[in-house]
Formats: sequence, structure tokens, C-alpha cells
Amino acid sequence: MNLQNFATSEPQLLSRTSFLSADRLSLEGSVMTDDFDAALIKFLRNGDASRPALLDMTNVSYVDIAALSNMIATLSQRCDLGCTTHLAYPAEKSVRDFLATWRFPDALTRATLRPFEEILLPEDCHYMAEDQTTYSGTGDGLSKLEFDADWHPTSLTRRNFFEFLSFADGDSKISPTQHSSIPREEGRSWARPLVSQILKKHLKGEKSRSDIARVIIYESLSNAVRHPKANLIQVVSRFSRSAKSKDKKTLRICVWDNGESIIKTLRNALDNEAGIRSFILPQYMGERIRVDISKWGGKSKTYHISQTEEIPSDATDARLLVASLFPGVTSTRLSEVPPVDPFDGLSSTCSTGEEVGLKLEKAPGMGLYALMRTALDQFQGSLFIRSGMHNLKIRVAHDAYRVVDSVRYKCKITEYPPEVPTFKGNLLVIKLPLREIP
Amino acid sequence: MHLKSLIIKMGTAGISPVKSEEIALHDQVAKYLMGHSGIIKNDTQYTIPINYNEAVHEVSVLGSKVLSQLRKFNRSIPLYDRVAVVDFTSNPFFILREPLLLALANGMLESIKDSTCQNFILVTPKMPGDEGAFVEKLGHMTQLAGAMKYSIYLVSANGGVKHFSHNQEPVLSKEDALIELFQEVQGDPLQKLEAKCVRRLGHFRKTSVQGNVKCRQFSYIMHDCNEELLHLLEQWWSELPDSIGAIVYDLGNNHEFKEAVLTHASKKEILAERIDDVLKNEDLAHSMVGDKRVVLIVDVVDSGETLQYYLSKLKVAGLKIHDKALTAINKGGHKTTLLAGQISVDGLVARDSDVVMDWCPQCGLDLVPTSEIAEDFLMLRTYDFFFMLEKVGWEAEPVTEIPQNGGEGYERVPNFTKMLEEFGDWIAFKLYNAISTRNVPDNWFVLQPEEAASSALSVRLNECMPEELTVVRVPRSVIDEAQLTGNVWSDLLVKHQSSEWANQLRSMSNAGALVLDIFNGSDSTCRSLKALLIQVELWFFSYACLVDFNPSIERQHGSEPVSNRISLHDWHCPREFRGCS
Repeated sequence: MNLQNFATSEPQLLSRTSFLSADRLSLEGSVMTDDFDAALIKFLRNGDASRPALLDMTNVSYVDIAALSNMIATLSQRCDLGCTTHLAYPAEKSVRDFLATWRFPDALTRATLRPFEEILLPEDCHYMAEDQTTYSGTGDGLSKLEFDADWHPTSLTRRNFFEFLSFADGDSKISPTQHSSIPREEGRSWARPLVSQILKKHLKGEKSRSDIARVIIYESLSNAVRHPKANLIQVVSRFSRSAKSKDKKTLRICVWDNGESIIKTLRNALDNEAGIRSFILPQYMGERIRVDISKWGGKSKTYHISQTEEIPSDATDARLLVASLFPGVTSTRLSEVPPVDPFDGLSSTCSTGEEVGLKLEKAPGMGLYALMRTALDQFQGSLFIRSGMHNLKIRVAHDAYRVVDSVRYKCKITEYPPEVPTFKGNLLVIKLPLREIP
Repeated sequence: MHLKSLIIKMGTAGISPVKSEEIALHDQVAKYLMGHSGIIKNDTQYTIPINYNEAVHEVSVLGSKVLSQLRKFNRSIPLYDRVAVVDFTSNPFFILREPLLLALANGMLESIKDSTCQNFILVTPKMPGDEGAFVEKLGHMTQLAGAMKYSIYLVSANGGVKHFSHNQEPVLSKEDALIELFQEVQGDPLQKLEAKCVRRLGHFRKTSVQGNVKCRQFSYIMHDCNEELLHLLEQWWSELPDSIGAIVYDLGNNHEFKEAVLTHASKKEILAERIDDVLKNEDLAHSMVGDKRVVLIVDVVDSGETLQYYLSKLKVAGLKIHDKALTAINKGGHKTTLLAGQISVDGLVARDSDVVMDWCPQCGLDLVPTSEIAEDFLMLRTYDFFFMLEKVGWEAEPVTEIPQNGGEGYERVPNFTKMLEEFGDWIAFKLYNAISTRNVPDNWFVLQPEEAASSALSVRLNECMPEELTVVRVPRSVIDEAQLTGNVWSDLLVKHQSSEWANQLRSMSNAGALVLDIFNGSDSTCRSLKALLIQVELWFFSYACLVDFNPSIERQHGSEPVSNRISLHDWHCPREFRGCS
């Protein structure tokens, strides 16, 4: 950063030129999560992590919502650490309109607790007053969902169905006691007839679209609200239909929470000698997964694991991350693990209905598994999880892997370099393929 | 055949009596699927509640509750004759979490293994996905159940059936006959829509497209009726000619209807655009010009002035407008009206015309205009309260409803029964809005005295709720007994242990009560019911009433005011001061 600008007696406004190339997270063209990570790593390798940074979106022509969630998490963490970050807004109007319509500035403010105008470069602040012209709300049903031309600040519905939603403790609408209502109420929104019709029209295959609300939305949010210390949850989604995006044609749903990492939560449970398997699985649930693990930019090693395998107490973080998707894995385990399926032979050991009830209570750990089954097997989509020092991508294995390796799922785990700080919270991205519509 | 009807109510705190039509439906479905022609016995009395906390944190409780009910089958009944119908259809599909259904599967598996019950009919609003964890588990029941026999029908309300049994691969079918059975129980969409079309009071000021400012006292809002509107729209559309190719609409104040129209347009793959956009955007207008005709849809028609204005402008833009328009609400008392011979208007519901006012008294009083789309105020405006009062009049407080432990009866109170008949939809809607602003617990229910007006209020309130609310009504005579003993409930609970209200309270745990009454004079009814809650180890989260005659925090005799109060109108005339002259 050029410090001479700050040596004069009169304070000079920050601008793009105030930042050297090494002090920028430069994003160009079509930006996905990996592109943001690459820019972040380059910045971190070029100097002290705490130095002021410019997140430069000037030349961005398209930005994925998962990348935006990633940016929000990263900037929020930098704020926590007292590191200054500024943002250079995109030169392309359609991108600025996208950010406005998806309410990215609000989302960033909610996560960082800083006014957006403080983060945005002063020379770009005038963009906040410009009219949005890309989304008119005319056209097909999807266009209507993306922008409601009748919307008013007193409306009870969202202007853009897919826009960033932030649920925070202390919200006037959501109290701590109502945190658990978030999955239900958001599931209700996704179950409405217009959204259901749009899903039916655009999603590939003939499968039960109602499971998007019931399983994907509900379980992803249900998981997020239960992460320890999560006092902010953000949800955002988007139908990507653009030819110039790297998204291909997908529906993406992102859920980010600022709570404790899934990996750390499971690690704590393992360290407490409680174990994380709530019960031993029946054989049919023993799907095999091919896991390719690599360090960032490095070669990968391949492992084959089964969902029914015992998770050792010295399991690596990568192992724990993939195990979080297994059925019956949870940080809130039963105090004793029955030797077989937990409900087997209950009648011989319990003489009253109440005893049966006690035994049957609290067999958690199926939420993320149910989500994975629906997203991957039912809709042929994929899951991405960013947590701790890793990211994970998983999808159904294609024919070659299925035949050669006898695996049902294919998973890639990447470990970030040590200079990257532990990711704040957990980011879950569900990607579902869309059909071609003439 | 012996049936157990396990009617699952998600999001409810306690049990409620089952409806005879639900039992009859289960009997018919069982007969149809299992080919039974003889007598069916079914002694089910109550529903099975799963509260929201259980649905998220204790999913296995569904399995244990189902198993517990099945264990009530008389052991003398042969195993092959026992059938369990697990009915989820009174819940929205999205709320049936996969882990919850897996817990149900676990309960069924236990029941099969220990020979409690081997025949199941599971009824859901929609069919869960084939590759999902639940259907996968049903597909592996043979492997899990060992050598035990079983038969499980998974049925959706739209007629889909999957049959899993010990001696064959899963069988899929579509049974149209079942669709008709379910539709009979689900109720008439038009009746449901009528109940959700709320007439609001306020000061509604609107500028017409011609620039005229008009004030109205009534406005209508349709809430939570997307499905009903879509059904009725599709029904209406089915009678239109094939020459219809697009829709233009003005539905800015009726989001529910707009969603229904857009859903229908998407299904039909036809254009649907706002009238405003079409008139401002030549390209858009041009896209609608052609051989096909365009249907006009609006939210309300009264004089027809606005509709005719739109008609003339759209014709100038080149659109061929169909001679039948649709509106959600047709004022003037008739569902179909003819406007100046040009266009007929069909309404989904009919309502009275607005009163034509030369002069608006509310403008004269400088009352600010109220919103068309949302409730601005948590309480009733004084203007609206006295308007209602003028309509319904006064009456003496019924003697049987006067609390035993303090104060005299009111010589005159508003005729609340009439007020609820005339304005109950809006009063309940306002109360629902007011309650929603509080920290409403996930697991809550209504506790109230069993009195005509109070009961009518809770019935109306339930119409506003997304999921059914458990309402516990305690007879006034029992509350009187408690008040005469200083609100000691222990003996009374024993004395009335087989009563419905006591059964309901026993069925609940970790639930918060909203104590609901029509008016409050002395806090005494609320205090009595709070004492009851303590006795049954449930908790109090709020007190709500239509009118609070005792809103002041000052109390005589050192009594503490009831905290967490909601009232729609306050009027200081506490019961304990009655008789002071």
C-alpha cells in the first residue's frame, strides 16, 4: 500500500490507486468460489495478513453467490481481527444491479456490522444511488421471482425471492427462542405454489420437487441453527441461466453460519470420548465413497471409505468433514451406543411404553445425510462445504468410478495452505442441475 | 379389521379430539387398499401432536408415540387384523422432515418385529422422493425385519401409492379413486377462501388512475390462501376458450392472488405482465399483440371505473382483450357483473359495494390513512372500535361469566358475540398480528374459559394460524370452583380427570400458554388459569384479550399485575372499582 498518501496534513480519500497490486484481491471475469480463494491466497502470500486490503471487483463480469458468501465470511473475519478491507465495485452495470437486487450490501453490513459505505471505496459510493435497470420483473415466472415490481418497503414479502436473507440473534423478527423457527419458515416460503412451479419447470428430471423445501432447505438451515455459537445465518440462492457463467445451468442455494466449525464440533465430541456415531448402521446404509484429498495446488491421494466405518478418535479434520455427512453422525450422541440398530429388540428390554420412548429418544445425526441423499441421488446435484481449513465437494460417482471402485459417491477435499486463516463459520452450497429450456 | 388412526398434527402442543370424517376416510382407504369388505372397528379418540421442538430436536419421539398407541391394540385381536393408519395430511408437506419420517420407520420396524402391528397405511400430502432416506428405508424393511411379515402402503393425497411388503418388490400405482376420497375431507376451496378474505376497517385512501382521491372505510385482505386461489383460478380458466394467450394484471395489493396468477401462467406457458408495464413498454405490449386474446385480471372491482380505463388503454395499445375479466373480489353483491355492455367481470368472492361518501369523516378528524396491504397498528383505532360498538350495541355481562372472587358484574359491556359475528375475521387477524410480534415460543397453545364469545374468538384465531393451534377450554363452573378455594387446582384436576380439558393438559409438556379471554375486568380469570398452569407444570407466556378494562398497572390489595399482556383496545374501568360512587 502506498503510505505517502497518508503523510500529508490533509486526509486523502482512499481510491483504487491507493492500493498496490500486491495488496489487492483482484477478481476478473467470471468469479467462482475457487477464484476468490486463489485471490485471497495470493494476497496472503504477498505480505502480512493484517495489512489493509482492497477486494477489487472492478473487472468482474459475473459473480457466483457462493463466492459472495465466501467473501462475506472472509471480510467478517478480517473485521473481527481488526484488519481493514475495502471494496472496489464492478464497472459493469449488470453486475452492480445483480449485487443490488440480491441485497449483497445489506448482507455484508449484517455480517461485518459496518456500514457498507465504510467498506466501499469513496469513489464508488455514488453507485449506491443509481437505479437498477437489469431486472424489471417482466418475462417468465423466474424473472418475476427475481424482482417483484410491485414490492414496497411495507410489503410482507421479499422483493427478490432469492436475495440474501440474514437471521441474527437480536433481530426484531427473530429472537433466540425463535431461532429454531428459521428452517420451518424458510421451508414454508420454498413450498409456495409459484416457487414449486418454477422448480418443476427448471430442475432436471421428474423427481419430487417438493423435497427441495422439505429436505434441502429445511435440513440445511436446521443444521446451521444448531451449530454452536452461530448467531448469524445467511441464506442466498440463484438460478444460473447465464451462458457466460461458469455455473453452467444450476440452482445454487448457499447457507452460511458464523458458528463453530463442523469439524471442531465433531472433534470436541471425539475428544470428550463420547464418540460421534449415535448408532451403528444397518448394512444397506454402508455406501462407499471415493475421497481424493489434496493440499491446495498439490497432488491428491485417494482413499475409499464406507459410511459404516468406525470413526477413530485420531481422525483427521478431512475425515471428520466427510463423516459429517454420514448417517447417524452427530456431536450430540447418546450416552451409550446400542450394539446394533438402536431400536432392535427394544421390546425384550423395555417393559413399558415409557421405557421404549426413552430409548427411542434422541437418535439424531440424520439431517445432513438426508440432505445429501436428496441433493445428490435424487436431483443429481452436488454439495460443497467450506469449514475450518478445508473444503469438500461431493457428488454421485459416475459410471466409470462406480464400476471400477464400487463407490456410490465421489468426494474431493482440499486443505488450504497454513497462511489462510481458519474459515469463519460454515458454508454449505447445494448445486442442482437445470434442464435446457428452449 | 381393527384400525388405529394415528392422526399426526405437527406444530401443535397437545391432543385434540379426532373428527368423525377423518375416521371415516381412514376406514374407506383401508377398505380400498386392502380389499376388505367387512366391518371396521376404530376406537381412536385423539390426535397425536408433535410440537416444533420435538420436530427439530427430538425426532424419535414420533416413533415412540406411534409405537405407544399401537401397543393399545387389544392382544386378543389377531395380528393380521390390526391396521395402523398414520395420517400426515393435515400438515403441509414441507414440515415432514426426513429424520422425522425415519423415526416413524423405526417405530414401525419395532412394531413389526415384536408383533404389535404388521399392517400400515401411511398417508402424506405428497409422495416423498424415491431416492430419499425414508423411502430407501422402507425398501429395505425386509432386510431389517428379518423373517417377519409386514405390509406398508405409502399413499399420497394425489393418489400415488407405493406398496412395500415382505414377499414382493415395491409396487407403484396411481389410484384416482383415492384422490376423490381425500378431496372430500380437505374441504371446499371456495369456503376456505371466504374464511381467509378478511374485511379490515381503517381509513383507506386511494388515488384512482384518473387522479381522483377516494376514501373508504373497508378494505379486504386475503391471507395464506395461495392454494385456494390457484385452484379456483384454474377452475375458472378451464371454461375459457382456447384462444386465450396471455394475461395482463393489476394485483399490487393482493400478493396471494398475484402468485396464483403467475403460477398458472407458468404452468400454461403463457405471458403474464403487469398492466402498468405493458402500457409503458411498447416492446412488451407488442409481444402481446397477435391472434390470441388477453385476459384482464385485477384484485377488486367496485364501480368498474378503473377496469374500463385499463380496457380502453390496452385496446389503444393494440391488445385484443377477452370479453370476460376476473377479479378476486367483486363488489356489488354479485359474483358476475356486466360493465357497460363491454366486458363481464367474474369474481372469486362477492362483497358489498363501498359506501359512496361525499365527505370523509376520517379526513375531517385528520386521521392518517391506513395501509392497504398490512396492519399499521397493533391495537384497534378508537374510531374503529366505536364504529363496531355502534353496530353491535351493548348487553349486560352474563351472570355465569362473572368471576367468583372479586367485583361485581358489568351492567353494560359491548355485545362481543355480535361483534365477533360481524367483525370476527378482522379482530382475529389483528390479534394474530399482535401475538406474532411477541417472542412466541415454538410450542404454545391457547388456554381459555369455555364461554361463547371467548370460544368464538379462538376459533377465528385458529383460522389465521399456519398450523392448527391446540385450544384448551376450561368450563367457567370449574374456574369458579377454583376461585372459591383460592385457586387451588390439585383436587379439581383429580375430580375432572376424565374431562377433555384435563386430558389435553396432561398430553402436553414444555409448552407455553396464551391465556385468551374476550375482555379483562380484574385479571382474576387469568390468575386462576395461571395457577392451573403451574399445577400441571406448563408455563404462561402471555395474556390476550379483545378489550382490557383493567390496563392500569395500579392494583389494589397488593396484587401484582399480570405481565405480558396483549389487548386490542384499552378502556379503564376495572372490575374492582365497580360500585364506587
